[in-house]
Order: sequence, then structure tokens, then C-alpha cells
Amino acid sequence: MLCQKCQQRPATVFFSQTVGNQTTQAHLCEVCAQAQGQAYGVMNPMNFNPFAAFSDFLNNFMAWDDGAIAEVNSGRKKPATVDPQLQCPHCGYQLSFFRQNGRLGCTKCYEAFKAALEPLISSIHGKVVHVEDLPAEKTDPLTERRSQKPEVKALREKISQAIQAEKYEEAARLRDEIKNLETEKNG
Amino acid sequence: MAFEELLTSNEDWFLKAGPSCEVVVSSRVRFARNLEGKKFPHNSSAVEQSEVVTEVHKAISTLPQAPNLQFVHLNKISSLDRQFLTEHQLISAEHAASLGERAVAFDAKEGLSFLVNEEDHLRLQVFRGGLSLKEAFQNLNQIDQTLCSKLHFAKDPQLGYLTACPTNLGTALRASVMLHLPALVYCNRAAQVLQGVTQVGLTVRGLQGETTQIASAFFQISNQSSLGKRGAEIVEHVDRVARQMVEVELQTQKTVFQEEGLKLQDRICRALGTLKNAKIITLREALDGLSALRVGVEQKILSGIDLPNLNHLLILIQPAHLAKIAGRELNPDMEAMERARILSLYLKSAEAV
Repeated sequence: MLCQKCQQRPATVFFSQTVGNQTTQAHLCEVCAQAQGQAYGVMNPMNFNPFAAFSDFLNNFMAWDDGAIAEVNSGRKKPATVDPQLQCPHCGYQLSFFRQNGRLGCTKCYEAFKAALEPLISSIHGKVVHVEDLPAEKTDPLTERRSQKPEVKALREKISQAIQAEKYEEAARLRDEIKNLETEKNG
Repeated sequence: MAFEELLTSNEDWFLKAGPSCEVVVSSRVRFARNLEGKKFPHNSSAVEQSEVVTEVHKAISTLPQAPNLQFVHLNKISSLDRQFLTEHQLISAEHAASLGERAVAFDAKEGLSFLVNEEDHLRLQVFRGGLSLKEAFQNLNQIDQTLCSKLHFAKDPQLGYLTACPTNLGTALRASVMLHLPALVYCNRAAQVLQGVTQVGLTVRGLQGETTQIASAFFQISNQSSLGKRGAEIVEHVDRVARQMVEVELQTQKTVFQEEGLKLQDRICRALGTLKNAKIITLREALDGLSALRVGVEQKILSGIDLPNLNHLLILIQPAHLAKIAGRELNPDMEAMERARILSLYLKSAEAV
């Protein structure tokens, strides 16, 4: 039996779900079952689905592919001129392998297959670029924002008290005072 | 057989009660890293793979954490041992099943592991009990920064860390929490609430209960995208959503107990009776029962047992752990018997209040 969703791979996963009085059954292949968000086979609830990243990707990849095909069919877009035989000069990996297993051959493949990968990457992550994390000791938003100075600590307590007493002007004044102290410290 | 010491350890991370552990079973953060210019594991020869293992091993050995790390070549141990490490959350099922030169360095107490040649050259991960994503992230970030000075990780200014699969680009970070949502499942609200979670950029995976309504209501939520945001922001986001889930679940528990307290109490006490007295029990039935016991502990219906004990049982009743306890490979019938024996042993002092 073929997978009900992709109609390509053999169905190996059978699951039923009961919502109210209605029971729905599905026969899916491993990949589509994972993509459905049913970590059926991982009976260990402490265990995190190891194939998650891969299936998320495939899911997105297929969606993108279908979208592209629909656009081509509707005549809105010319067929992409990406050659599936395209090879990475560094490792010899072919773009067609990537389409089969969702993995690239080496870190240089990103450069070699740039044209084919760009739309895919934006469909997965959005049209964004990487943002560097702050150095380790600054990544805690608490230590990042909050000075450990005792006088600042005292002022902060006063702010909480002022807010509780609904003395917002007082709280704002205290906040500015902390700001000044912290600029002094950093400057 | 090896790793017996992991069975008797009483200091593992899942034995500690973490924040919000009444709903959050565990938190996990992982980074994916690859060595510049090298082929990804699935595309490399055994020689290339073992070069990566050697290089990464050397770098890991210089970490301050190194004295507590156990380094294991996965292709040199039995498949039962690999399954055991998987159940113990030290490697992934994919890592256990893949072929070729691959290794892991782990500290089971800290829930810290370095998976070498899984999908990527290196995956570092930290587990924590309860909702402790931020702490896990900071811990991992520090280790990563030390490693950065010893290994040349492939990175692109636009794409961030380059990974075998484009889903992991950017920070190459995945932050996940395992939630136990029995009341939402009981009220048939889990699907609706989790649908909302997927709309704020998170992925949900679950194991829906079939037999009973308070079934193994365990769900995992994690970030979907890893590119375009700082790691700290991704972690913050998952953490915030998890907190909301905790609140909704606890509120729902309160309501259902007000309305149907006796019915639920009955169900929990029956589950305890089954788990304490069964002679043969499947993994599925045991999970459903343990799910009910968790609620019993939270609602103070049961005594003589706590959440860390129940976390421990979730791991001990898995097949490779049972085989390890028995000291030999078990067929499914023997496994079900051993599971029943372990449950009644560990639940001996558990009682309905």
C-alpha cells in the first residue's frame, strides 16, 4: 500500500485518532507521518524525535516545490533553470541527491547550489539573515540588562514599591536614576 | 554489556525536580556544528569520518568538562547498548541507527552530550529537568564558545552556521520542551491549544492517547526556524510559550478536578493498582498509567512517590533498560514481565492518600 499523502513511498505507519465520536485513520509513510507531527514510533515520551529536523525540512521542501510547480503550471512563472545534475566542485555532490535526501554534501555546497537553495531557505526561515549571539556571559537577559551594583539594586526595590503604591511618577524618576548610574558604569 | 553504572546512578539530571516540573518533563537545547571544508558525515568515507571523530575528540578533551565525559565509539558497541544510550537521552535514535564511524562523549549527570557524526559533524546538547531552557542554553553557549577557539566551524555571514540540512541554518539551535498535558487531553482541548502553538512559529510533536482519556499526554514543542534571530531570543520565545502552556494546563486541571474530582481520583487509583500489581505490562499501558500517576502526585492524591521517581520510571521501563536490568536480551513477553516487576518494585511505597 502506498502512503496516502505522498503516493510515492510505501505506507508503514498506521494511526488512528479519535476526536469525540469520530475516528479517522491514516496510512502514511515514515516521512509523511513524521511531518504530520505524529511521533508515533518514539514510544519514549522523554525522547525527542531525532528525525524532526529532516521531516520539517522535507515538509517545507515539498510545499515549496508544489508551489513552484503550481506557479509554472498557471503560467505565472517560467520553469526554474536549475540543473539537477549540477555538481559541487568541492565534494562532487549533485543537486539531485539533495532533492532525494534533503541533505547537502559539504559546507561548500551552499555556495555551489546557491541559486537553487535561496528560495528554499527563505521558504523555511523567511527572508532573513543570520544574527550573531552575544558573547556567552552576556546572553542571560537578566545579567545583560541588570547591573549588580548594590545602589542600583536598592533603587530597583524602591521602584517595585512605588509601582505597588501606584506612584508612577516616582517610579519613572527612579528608573532614570538607574539609567544614569548604569551609563556611568559602562562609560 | 557496558554502561551498567548508568542504571544505578542516582544523580542523573532527570532525577532532579526542575522549575514547573509538574507540567514540563524536560528541556533540551542543542547546537549543530560542522568543520570547515569537510564533507558532511553521510557523504564521507570511513577514513574521513574517523578524521572528524579524532579531531573533535581532541578538542573536547581540552574542555573543563572533559574529566566527567565518557567517550564512546558507537560502531564498537552492540546495538542494544546503542539503544540503551538512546533511551537514556545521550544519543539520538538516528545516531544509534546510522552506519560508519561515529562517537559520543557524554556526562549523564549533567545531561550533556556531544554527538559526533550524527547528521552534522558535531551536535552538542544539554538536557535539564523541568522548564530550564535558559539555563541549558547558557551552559551550552559557554561550551560552544570554548570549542570555537579549538575547532574551525563552518559559518557564513548571511546563513550563519552551515549544516547538512538547511532547516538548521543560522544559530543551528533547537530548543525543545517535553510537556505533559493530561487535563487538556482529558477535555479534548489539547489539539486546539497546540494548534495555537504552531501558529507562533513552533513545532509540536505528540503521542496522542488512544485507550484511556488521561493517556500518555506527552507533547514536545520546539522552535521551527533557527535563522534570523539570536539564540537567546529563540530560547526566550520557546520558554514563554511553554510557560503559557503550563498555566493553561494547571488551570484546566483545577477546573476538571472541581467538576469531576471523584471520577479522576478513581482513575488515578486504578492506574496505581494496575502498575503495582500487573505481572505483564506493555510499554503503552505503562506510559498511560504513569501519566495518570503524575496527575495523582500533582493533585496530592498519591503519596510515597514523587515526580523525579516517575521520570526515572519513564526511562527504566524502556526495552533496552529492562534488558540491561535483567542482564540479558529479552523477548517481548519477557520484557513485559520485567517491566511489570520493575514497576511494582519502584511503586512499592506509593499509596492513595
